[in-house]
Amino acid sequence: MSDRRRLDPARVGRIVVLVAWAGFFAYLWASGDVVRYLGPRTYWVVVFGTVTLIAAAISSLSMVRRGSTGQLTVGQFLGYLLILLPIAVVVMAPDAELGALAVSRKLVGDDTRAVIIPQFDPDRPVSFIDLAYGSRSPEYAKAAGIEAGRELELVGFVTHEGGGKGFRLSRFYISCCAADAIPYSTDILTEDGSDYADDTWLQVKGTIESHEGGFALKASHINEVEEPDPPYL
Amino acid sequence: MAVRSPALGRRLSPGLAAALLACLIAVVAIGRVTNVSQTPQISSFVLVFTSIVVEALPFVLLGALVSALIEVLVPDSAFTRMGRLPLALQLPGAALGGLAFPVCECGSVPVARRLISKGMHPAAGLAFMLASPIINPIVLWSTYVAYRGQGLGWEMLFGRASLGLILAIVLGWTIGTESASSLLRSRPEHDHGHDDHDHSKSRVAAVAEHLTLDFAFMARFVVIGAALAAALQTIVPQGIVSGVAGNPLTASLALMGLAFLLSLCSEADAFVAVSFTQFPLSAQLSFLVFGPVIDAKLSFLYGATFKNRFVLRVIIAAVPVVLAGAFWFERIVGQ
Repeated sequence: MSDRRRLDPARVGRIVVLVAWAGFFAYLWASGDVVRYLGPRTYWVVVFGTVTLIAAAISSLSMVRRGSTGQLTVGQFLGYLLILLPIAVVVMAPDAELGALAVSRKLVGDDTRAVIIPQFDPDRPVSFIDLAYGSRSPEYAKAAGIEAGRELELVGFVTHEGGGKGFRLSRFYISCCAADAIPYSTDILTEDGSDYADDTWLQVKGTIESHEGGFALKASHINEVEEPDPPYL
Repeated sequence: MAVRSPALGRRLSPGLAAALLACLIAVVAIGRVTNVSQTPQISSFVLVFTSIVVEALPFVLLGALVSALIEVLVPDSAFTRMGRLPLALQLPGAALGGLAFPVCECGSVPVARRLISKGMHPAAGLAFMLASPIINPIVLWSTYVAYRGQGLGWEMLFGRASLGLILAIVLGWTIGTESASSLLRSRPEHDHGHDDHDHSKSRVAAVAEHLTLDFAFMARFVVIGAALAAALQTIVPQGIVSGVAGNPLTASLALMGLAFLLSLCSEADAFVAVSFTQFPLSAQLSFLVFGPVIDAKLSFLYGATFKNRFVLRVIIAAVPVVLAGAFWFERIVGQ
């Protein structure tokens, strides 16, 4: 009887893993940091994860003293550490982000990435996705008023991949998570040929120009800004 | 994965536990102090790695929950009766069951394992596991949304569902010929849990026990697979496949390879596939059908669940079926 009342270290280990992940999901949920990792379609998974893991941990508490072996192996312990590794990695690099390197890795051939059909709203400012889709669809460009000479303001980070002279401004669109991020980029044309380092976040004001079969932004004002929250489109 | 080192089976001493924990904490602290996230490669890896795990673990949890509910609430006799049905009926029935299970590929593995161990024919269990990430309603809806801009929403939806269903049935039929004991790996932790079962405990506690065992087992392989997928995404430029886009055969093979490498969730992969504008539709469909069946992340999960070079057999059997189906689809739909 006394043996069955001993703490089962394997069960205790599993509960610690469940509680740690429940806490991490709750943190992502409460802090709003979930937007860094997931797209709007999958925000619900952190709520589901928090609730289910807490429920499972509470339900398992009644059995932590039922173990008969009373030992935890090296393999089990390493397995638990492995599951906690992503949390440790986030603690180590809390401000990790996708930048110019990720854009260069995700380009396949050309840079036509207007795969999302934007729902045009006259009250919404024209974005990277509108410009990209407008470059492919003259009908959409006309309906959205995307034409040479129109004033525009964009916020994005600097990249040089796939562009011609000068630099490009880019933002990512994510559907489910950062693994499926799709880069949208717009060429920035400057009169003085000014350039910026990769990953510098800029606010660029100017006018739309027809450029290499698509649209570019001819800059009149460029300001360095903080990374927006969320950083994605 | 399959090899069990005697060192790993040894009892953990408090000193070793403290040393391992101290190592982990030291690495985290050094990384934090030296601002490793300022290195683009590390920053990109960390974000993609964590994103994949954060998105996948709740689906593993959901799969473990369904698996635990089946174990505790559904009597073995139900599966025994099901197992007596002709395979020709079980296979398509199980594959179509994926329509009612809206989870990504990570969630269907623990459920399939449970179904097979409870008495469902292994071929039918595999057909369910391989079909559900492709033909569930959320995946089909996202496929339609991604392709409707090209006027191909319905064509890609039906193409993906049909080829996914055929592939699941063919793979189940060819690979699931063995008995459950020959196909499934045993799990020491889980077996230990069974021995410890106190049949007087509540059903809630029993569900929690099975859920936590399945979750703790599966999650470690999701973490390893996510790390591999994130490393590949960070190191390998996707542009390397663009040179073969002109040839339908090499284009399809290249996008299948890319699907393996990227390990995308099947609920989002259509948005990536549609961006491969220079590739023929057959190659895009190959990407959409092959990826949910086998990728870098899943290969670890499969390896931990099934025996006998399961991953290799899936790849060998899936490639010709996907190619044939995708070329046939291109011939019908054509552009």
